[in-house]
Amino acid sequence: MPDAYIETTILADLLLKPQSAKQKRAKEALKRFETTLLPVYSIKEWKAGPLDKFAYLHDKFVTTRSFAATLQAVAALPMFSYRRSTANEAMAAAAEVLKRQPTQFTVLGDDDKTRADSFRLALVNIILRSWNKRRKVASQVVDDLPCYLEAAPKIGKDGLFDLKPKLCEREQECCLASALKSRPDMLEALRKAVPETSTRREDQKRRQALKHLIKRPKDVVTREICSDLGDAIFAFFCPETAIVLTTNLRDHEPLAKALGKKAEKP
Amino acid sequence: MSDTKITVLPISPNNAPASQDETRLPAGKTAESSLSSGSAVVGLTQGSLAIKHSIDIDRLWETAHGESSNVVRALELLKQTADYLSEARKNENPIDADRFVQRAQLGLPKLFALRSIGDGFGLLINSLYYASLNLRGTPMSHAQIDVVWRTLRELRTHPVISVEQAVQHVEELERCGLEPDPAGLGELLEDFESAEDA
Repeated sequence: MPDAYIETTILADLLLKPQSAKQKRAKEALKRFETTLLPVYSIKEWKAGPLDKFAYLHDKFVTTRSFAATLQAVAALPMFSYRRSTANEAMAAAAEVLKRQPTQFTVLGDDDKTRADSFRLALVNIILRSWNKRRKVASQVVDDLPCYLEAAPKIGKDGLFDLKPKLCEREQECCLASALKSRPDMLEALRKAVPETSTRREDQKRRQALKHLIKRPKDVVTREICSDLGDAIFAFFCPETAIVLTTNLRDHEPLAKALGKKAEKP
Repeated sequence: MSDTKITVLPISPNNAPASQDETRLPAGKTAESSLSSGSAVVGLTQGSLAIKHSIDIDRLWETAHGESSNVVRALELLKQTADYLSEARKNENPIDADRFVQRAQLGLPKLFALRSIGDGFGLLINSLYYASLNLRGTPMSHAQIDVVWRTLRELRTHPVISVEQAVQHVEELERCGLEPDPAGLGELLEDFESAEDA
C-alpha cells in the first residue's frame, strides 16, 4: 500500500469546503491510506491560494457591509467574466431577491447588513479553524521549508485579514535548491512533461523555471522560481513509495508519470 | 484550612442611583459589595488571596431601572436559552427534549442582533445558529445538547470573549458532530477555482 502525498487541492477540499461532496471524498480518500504525508509546500500554496481568497471575501464583507454588494463585487471580478453562469452570480442574484424576500434564504439575519456580518464572521471562523487544523489532516507533516515562515492569519486593527507572509523569505536562497539542483535528469523529465505549446500562464512559468534550473545551476534559486515550479515540486519530492493525491490530475498526472510516479484522484 | 470567611450583608438593590462609569454598578457601591438579590454574599479574604472576590455576572453588568445595554439583554437571553437547554437535558422524552431545544434555537437570531458586544460573541452565536440549521430538523443528541448548553453558560459568564476563544468553543461543537459553517461557503471558493481554470 503506497502512502498518500497530499497536494494543495486536497488540503483545500478538506479544510475549506464544509459539508461538501468534495470534502467527503477527500476524507474518504485519506482513510484508504495507512500513512498520509503533508508537505509544507502544500500548506504554503494553500495559504497563498484558497485561504487568501476566503480572506479576500471576508475583507469585501468588511468594506461593503453588504451581502448582496459583496457577492456582486466578486462576480464582477475580471476572472469571472469568463464564466457568467457561476454560483457567485447565482448567489448575487439570490442576494438581490433576498432584499425583498429575506425569509427564503438560510443566511442568518433579516437584512442585508446582518447577513453580511453573518458571512463575515463565518469566514473568520473557518479561516482560523482551518489554520488550526492544517497540520492535523495527515499522519505526518513532511518536507519542511526552513525559508518559509508559517505565520497564522491575523485580523488587523482595520478589521481586514493579514495573511503575510505568503511567500518565503526573500533574503535567502530557496531551501529546496540543493535537492532540485542535484537531479538535473529529473528536472529535464519534468520540463518535457509540460507541453511546450501550452498557452496557460502556469505552464509557461513552470517550463521557464525548470529551464532556468537546468541551464543555470549556479544561479540562486529565488522564491519566485520555487513558486513558479508549483505542481512540479510535488512530483519531484513525492517519495517513491507514495502517490500524489490531488483533484488536479490534468496537471499532476503527466508530471508524476515523467518521474515514474503516480498521481491519483480521491 | 481556608483563609476565607463568608459574611452575608443586607443591602437594598434600589437604594442607590446608577453610576455613570462603565461598571454600570449603582453609584456608591463597589464591586466587592455587589449582589443580585437584596443581600450580598461577600467573600472577605485575607492573606495571599486578599483581592479575590467573586462578583455575580448579572450584578457586574447591572443597569439602572429602565436602562438596558446589549450586554444586559444578552445575559437575559443567554439565561433563557441555556434554561431551555437545561430542561432539554433533564427531559427523558426525546420529543419534549427537542421542543426545548427548538425554543433555544429561536433565541439565537435575537442574540446575534446583539453582536455589537464583540466579534467573539457574534462568531460563537453565528456558529451555534448554523450548527442548528445544518441539523435540518434532526434532534440534537444528548451529548450535543450538553456541549451547546455548556457553551452558552460559559458565554453568559464571559460575554465579551476574544475571537480566538470563540473559535476554541466552535472546535468543541465540531468535535461533538455539529457543523458550524453555513452551507454554500465552500461553493464560493470553488467558483474562484473554476473561474481561474477557465
